[in-house]
Amino acid sequence: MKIANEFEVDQPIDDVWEFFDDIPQVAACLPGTTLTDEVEDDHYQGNVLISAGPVKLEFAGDAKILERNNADRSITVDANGAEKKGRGQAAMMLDADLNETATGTRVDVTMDLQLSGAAAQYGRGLVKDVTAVLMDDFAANMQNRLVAIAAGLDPNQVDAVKPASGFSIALRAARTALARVFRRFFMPYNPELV
Amino acid sequence: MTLDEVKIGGLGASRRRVEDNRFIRGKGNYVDDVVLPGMLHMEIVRSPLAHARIKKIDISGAYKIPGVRLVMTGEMMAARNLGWMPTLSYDTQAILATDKVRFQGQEVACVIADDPYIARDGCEAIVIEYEPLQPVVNPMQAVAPDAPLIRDDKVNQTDNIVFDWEVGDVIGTDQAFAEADVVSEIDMHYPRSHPSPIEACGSIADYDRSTSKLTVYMTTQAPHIIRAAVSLVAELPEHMIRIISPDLGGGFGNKVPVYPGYVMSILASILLEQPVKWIEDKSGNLISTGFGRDVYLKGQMALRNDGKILGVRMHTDSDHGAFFADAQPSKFKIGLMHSAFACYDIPNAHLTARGYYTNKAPGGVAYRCSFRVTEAMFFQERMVQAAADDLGMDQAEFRRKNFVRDDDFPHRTPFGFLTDSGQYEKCLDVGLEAIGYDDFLKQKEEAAARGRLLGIGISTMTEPLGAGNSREYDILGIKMFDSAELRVHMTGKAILRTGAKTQGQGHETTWAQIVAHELGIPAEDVVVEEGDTDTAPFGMGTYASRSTPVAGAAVSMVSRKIRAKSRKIAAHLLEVSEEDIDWELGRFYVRSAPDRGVTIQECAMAAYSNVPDGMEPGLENNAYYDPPNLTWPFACYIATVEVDPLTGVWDVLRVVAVDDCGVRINPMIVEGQIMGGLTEAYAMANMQFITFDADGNCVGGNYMDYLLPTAWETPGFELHEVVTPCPHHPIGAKGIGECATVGGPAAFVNAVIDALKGTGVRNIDMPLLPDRVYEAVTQHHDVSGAPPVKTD
Repeated sequence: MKIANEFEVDQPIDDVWEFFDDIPQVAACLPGTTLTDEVEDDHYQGNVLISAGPVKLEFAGDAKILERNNADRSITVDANGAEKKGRGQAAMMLDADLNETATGTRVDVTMDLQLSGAAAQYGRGLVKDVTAVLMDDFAANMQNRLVAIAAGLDPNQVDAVKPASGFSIALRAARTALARVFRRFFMPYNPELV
Repeated sequence: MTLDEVKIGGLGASRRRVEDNRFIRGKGNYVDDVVLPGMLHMEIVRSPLAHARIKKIDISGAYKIPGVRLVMTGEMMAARNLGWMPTLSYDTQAILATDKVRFQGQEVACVIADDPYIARDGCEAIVIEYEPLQPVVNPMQAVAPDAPLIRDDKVNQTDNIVFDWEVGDVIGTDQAFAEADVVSEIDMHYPRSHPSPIEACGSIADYDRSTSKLTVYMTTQAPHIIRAAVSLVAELPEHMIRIISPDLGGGFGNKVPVYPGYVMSILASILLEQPVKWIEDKSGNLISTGFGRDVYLKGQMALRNDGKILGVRMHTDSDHGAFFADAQPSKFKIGLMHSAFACYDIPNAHLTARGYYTNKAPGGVAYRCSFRVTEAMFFQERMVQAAADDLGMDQAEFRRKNFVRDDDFPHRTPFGFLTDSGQYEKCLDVGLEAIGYDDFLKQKEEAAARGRLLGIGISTMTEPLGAGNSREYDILGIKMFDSAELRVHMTGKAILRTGAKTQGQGHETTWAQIVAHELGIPAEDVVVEEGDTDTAPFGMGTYASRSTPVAGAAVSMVSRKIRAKSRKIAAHLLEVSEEDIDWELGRFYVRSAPDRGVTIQECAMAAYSNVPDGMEPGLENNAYYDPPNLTWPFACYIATVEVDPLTGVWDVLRVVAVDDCGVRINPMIVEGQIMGGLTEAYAMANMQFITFDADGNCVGGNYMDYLLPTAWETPGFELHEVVTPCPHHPIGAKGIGECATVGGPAAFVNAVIDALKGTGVRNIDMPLLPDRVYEAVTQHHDVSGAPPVKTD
């Protein structure tokens, strides 16, 4: 399934691009993610814990940076993992594309996510909504860390947006889903929001 | 004074549903409402993969959680000879997987704990290691050269084919095609859907070691069959098993099969000697329990230029999932698929059918139909429309020309069924008149001139409802009769029990109406009880629209036995001979002196207080009814639609339904059934399907992906009726519960295809999602929706 998101940080594009060079920093921004090993350059192993309402899945796997394009300021990551209790697998090809804006940097993220097993059963709608919530958290964490770096502080001392509780992710994802239904019935048609 | 039958709630009374009184007050008693002392709770671990070998199951983590009482795996079940169980179609089905998992959602382990939350935590703590195998998600993949063998557990099974079966006259059909002026063809897929009753499945097993009695509260449409099955599978004596099916929140065929969860809860209760409750969640219900349809249909029709159908060839490839667990009562491998074309006078037909194993959920059920009749009628009406188009004939005229005539009953269908009665042309005329057929055709032409796409679709069909007769229909050898037991108390009030089991059909209301019709006892004086095998007479349950044709007939017959005894009592009370009295509703009277009479209530009192010499006291009896034939209702559904060529979205303009289900017992309930059925027909045509991606993941295991129509989307329906009494049913009634689901989908699809006439599009597979219609409109080709599907 293809999922597209975007977010903005009010930092110059060069700083953001540099930030993307530091994978442990990037990983630290993603809620529920811990890196366990750096196998080689641009190849990491780690765990991702996703907890949304009653759903709790913990994936262990690999992430490789396939491409860094300094000219376009874009990066391609290939990640895949298996749920630790055998309840499914996930594979993701992620492209992040940095663009300069008047106030900072916009990051366009497109993901091609393939889920099998338990995760796949939760439905495309729910997966997209949960992903959107995680992306928001990622953006907020990244913003905080960039601000800290700019101020010469240790970004690891910055309070991360608390790894969201399963309940709050579920609640926020549900709100997104409800908004979508509401829009479908009561708002003028807008293909970008469907 | 003669009783007014409608006033006492007899035939034809639109009596309010008795059961609704408790339902609308939240006083229904469903399985999940039942709480027994010391009850434990069971949850199931399901396979995340469609096809994989189980390498290791580590259950130690579950036992570390306080409150977990028992964990069961396939290995443990197999040690008790319960690894596998027989299916209703003479195959075997895993209760808990032992060697490998064969579909996503298959039961792999279960945890019994003090409460359902602990049980679920226990499930989470079980670690299973799988070795993924190549999944098979459709019949084409099942017979590909590199296809893995799904049923490697079966000795002698070397491929993924379940059966090959045929019926009809191959030589005569070949001859018809040789003589044909035109041969019309069609090729389509009826997608997998799920009945999705609002209440999922569940059971509470309560084994009492001190009495050796097993009581099971269970969501089942057929409690007596379950009792027999449990007795055979669990090797318990039948008289020590009591199955209670309390209020059911819908069934639609989904609650006919025996599911592994039931069996596991029973074994757990026997092992733990405590009641064990299992309540399935909705996802579990959607991904693992009985589905409907999933058949590829190919057909050819031999036609004469004047519009006469000479012969039909059909071939079906049916996808049965991992186990051949079709819950169907006929001896025919593809169910009643060959009931197709029963309303048309066609001399020759031949059907070949092949069934396949795939890595999908097993347990095909008759989702609101007699088994496979929905597919048969959909195929028939799509084929008929394609043939009319190929001949350049009007679709209504083409049907009229080929209908069986009113004076041609009983009529032998091309596949050997015997239809009983009908007025097909009259139904069509009522429908065409109601929709304003000629006006719509003009309107359609005018709209086309302005670039708008209007279409009209007709679907006419007669279908076999109410299995059996026992010659041809049985479940595991048990004949498809049904039963009723009537006990009239001394004050003339009565309790009626039947072997059927209501799931929303309103038996508590309508059965009492039949008693009122036969005996003149007001319907409100008759209480109806079903679903408890310790009290109800043996019956085969409710599905396939068989309640009224079979159990309803038994209610009539038992009432007549009561009337016969009452007549003797009346003769005794009136001091005349039995031959000298006559019956009018609710009263016997002396033929020569009509003022001298006794009411049925007076006879009831006398049965307990003043019986003639030599007569047994009391007024109760039972009846077992084995119908001579199926009943054959007829229906004509007409839909008009507008297709938006820019988006592929189609809107329903009007729907007209003309149903002839013989005598209507409760017209309000009949109309409710038709509207419900049309809603499901619209759902299948428009949005509802269970499909799979290339890995065998079920895409449709939740209500964000499996779309059910709400009141918002559902169009309005205009209902009309024609009444042709069933000649062999005691009160002339035919089945009705499923007609609209069976005949409805083709009306919607035919309407959309009619709107696209002239664009080269002959078929779009259901559901007609906007992207499929858009592709057909813009690319001018047929669109098939077979799995695996794109998941974006």
